[in-house]
Amino acid sequence: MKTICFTNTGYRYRLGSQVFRTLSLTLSEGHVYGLLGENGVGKSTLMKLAAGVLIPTAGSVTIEGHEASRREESAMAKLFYLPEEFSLPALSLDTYCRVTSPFYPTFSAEAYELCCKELDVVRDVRLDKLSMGQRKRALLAFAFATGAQWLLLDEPTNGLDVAAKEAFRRLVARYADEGRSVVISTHSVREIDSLVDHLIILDRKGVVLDASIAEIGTRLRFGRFSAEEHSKWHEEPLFAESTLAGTTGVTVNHSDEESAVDIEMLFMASLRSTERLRALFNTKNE
Amino acid sequence: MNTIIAYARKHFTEMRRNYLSTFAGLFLIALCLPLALREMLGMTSEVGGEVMMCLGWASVLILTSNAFREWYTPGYDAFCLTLPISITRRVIFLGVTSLVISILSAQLFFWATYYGWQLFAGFNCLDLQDDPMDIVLRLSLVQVVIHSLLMVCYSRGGRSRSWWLILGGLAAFYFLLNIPEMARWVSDLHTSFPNLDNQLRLLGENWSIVLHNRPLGAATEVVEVVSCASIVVAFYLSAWCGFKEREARK
Amino acid sequence: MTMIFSDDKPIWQQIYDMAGDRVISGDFREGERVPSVREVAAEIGVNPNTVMRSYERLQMDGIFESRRGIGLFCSVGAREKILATRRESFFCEQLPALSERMKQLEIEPEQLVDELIKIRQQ
Repeated sequence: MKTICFTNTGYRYRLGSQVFRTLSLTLSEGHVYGLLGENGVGKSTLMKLAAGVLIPTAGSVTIEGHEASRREESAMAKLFYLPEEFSLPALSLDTYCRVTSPFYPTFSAEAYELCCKELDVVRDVRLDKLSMGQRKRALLAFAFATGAQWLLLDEPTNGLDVAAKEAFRRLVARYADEGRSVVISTHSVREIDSLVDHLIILDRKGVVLDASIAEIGTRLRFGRFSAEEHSKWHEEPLFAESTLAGTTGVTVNHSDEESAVDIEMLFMASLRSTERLRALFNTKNE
Repeated sequence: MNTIIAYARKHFTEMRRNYLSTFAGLFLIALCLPLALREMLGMTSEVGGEVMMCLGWASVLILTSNAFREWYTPGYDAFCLTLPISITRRVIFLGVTSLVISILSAQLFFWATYYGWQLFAGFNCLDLQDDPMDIVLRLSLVQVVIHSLLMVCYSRGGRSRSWWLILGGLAAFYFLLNIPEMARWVSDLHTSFPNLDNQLRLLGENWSIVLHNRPLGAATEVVEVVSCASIVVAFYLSAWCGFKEREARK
Repeated sequence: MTMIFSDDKPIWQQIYDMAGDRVISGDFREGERVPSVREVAAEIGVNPNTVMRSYERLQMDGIFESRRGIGLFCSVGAREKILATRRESFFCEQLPALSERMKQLEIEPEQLVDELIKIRQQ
């Protein structure tokens, strides 16, 4: 079973703040997950728990059955975690790749060449002498080349220019097509719109929703609605904003027709009508 | 076995500059310390042991913490922790390598400069009070003991910063127990070098504990006993720290 | 390449039509692999789920076919199928509307044919 499972996971920082209490989530193979939430809700913490970098203070996190925090060789070879901010040794990317790739049995030199080209990576200059954007592109190329079953990317598009972001999208699409999973944690909701097929939205209490885009489109309706329609409903929209074109927003979907999901609006709705959304998707927390 | 070789290659490629600068530093200590002591204290002949002890401590401390450096470099530690190699293998490799290199480098630099000074400067600034083989063995033993302490601190694969406290405690313990020895040394110094402060002489006269009249031997034996005793305590302390280890990022 | 979508039709429908356009133009050749759902989504900036609906429809209508383990391909005969469907839609929907408009503007069928031939010759 190729999954990463969070079972009643709790995490508390040494200096006191409790980030999660009883978080339960399952990540499966072949999906692109979007991890959204405001600053400080624990997106990075969640990723680090999945990668085994942090040890949960309660419950467990398993990678394909192995306890993540034990950092077993076989489990670590199946994932690649790219933090938001990182530093690298004083080596060129080619050298770094040469010494690090042997640890990843699924590494492909061909994919490495391709990714470096697509992301326009500087391969022969020392990594610590590159700008943050260049370093990110370099590590992204390496990440995709590892061919790991799980790519955990924390704010991967931060610091990338337009061309690099396009290349990133192409690479993620191709990666997931081959049955692997990519988990992207981000603030740039719009940028992952064309990538994700499953969303996880977090808030300070835990998970607000954990659903596929298809499911979201069935339960919610996104788009324009008129004043008459509005008055007909018994309930308030989950989110609404007036634009020049009229009122657009997120409402409960009472029709049989699946709606096209607007992730940005959904995120706004998660901020305005958190509990309703939670209830709607039957997300259980503490 | 393949993973260890791959890890060795990765480790030495990444740490190459670190190792080179460490060796340069150790060499400088070995070269300059006798000279400095000689200049500061006038005619000296009994500091061979102290120089070697400094080298021994310095080499094992710096080389071992260098070996485990990647584990506590912020921003790089995440890559290090998620590298697909078992913690046990990594620890064994880093442990053995750092110990072997510490012992070899301390010995190499010490003896090179010892003979170097004799040959080129013509002064015997390091008078060894004991048989060289004895010294080599004792120093190596001390290094092993310190090294095992450091190893235990890093063994849980976390980023245990509590080793600073343990080492600090050990150093304090060592110095505390050596006060009688040091006092005697200081009082001896006073007789040889009258330009030193009278105060120190007082200190020397009030202590009545008698130690063996083998400066190098006495100091080392104390270190051995203290270290071995502390090791047991430190082992449990740091293992406990390791198990309780949690990452506090903010 | 980001597609600009109009408001009158659902996006998945527009993607469906766009795929049809590409089959007709030869961009998607019969018997050859077509880009995956994700590839198209990433390229045009639309959620994969929406593209999925278009692709499901395309498969249902026999324009695309999936070959297990290999991917999605443009079916043989897809071009003809699409042309046939669009022709039918033209004759059943657009032509009557055109005829109404012609009546309104008092244009005779013969005039229309003459004009059409002139345009074709350009």
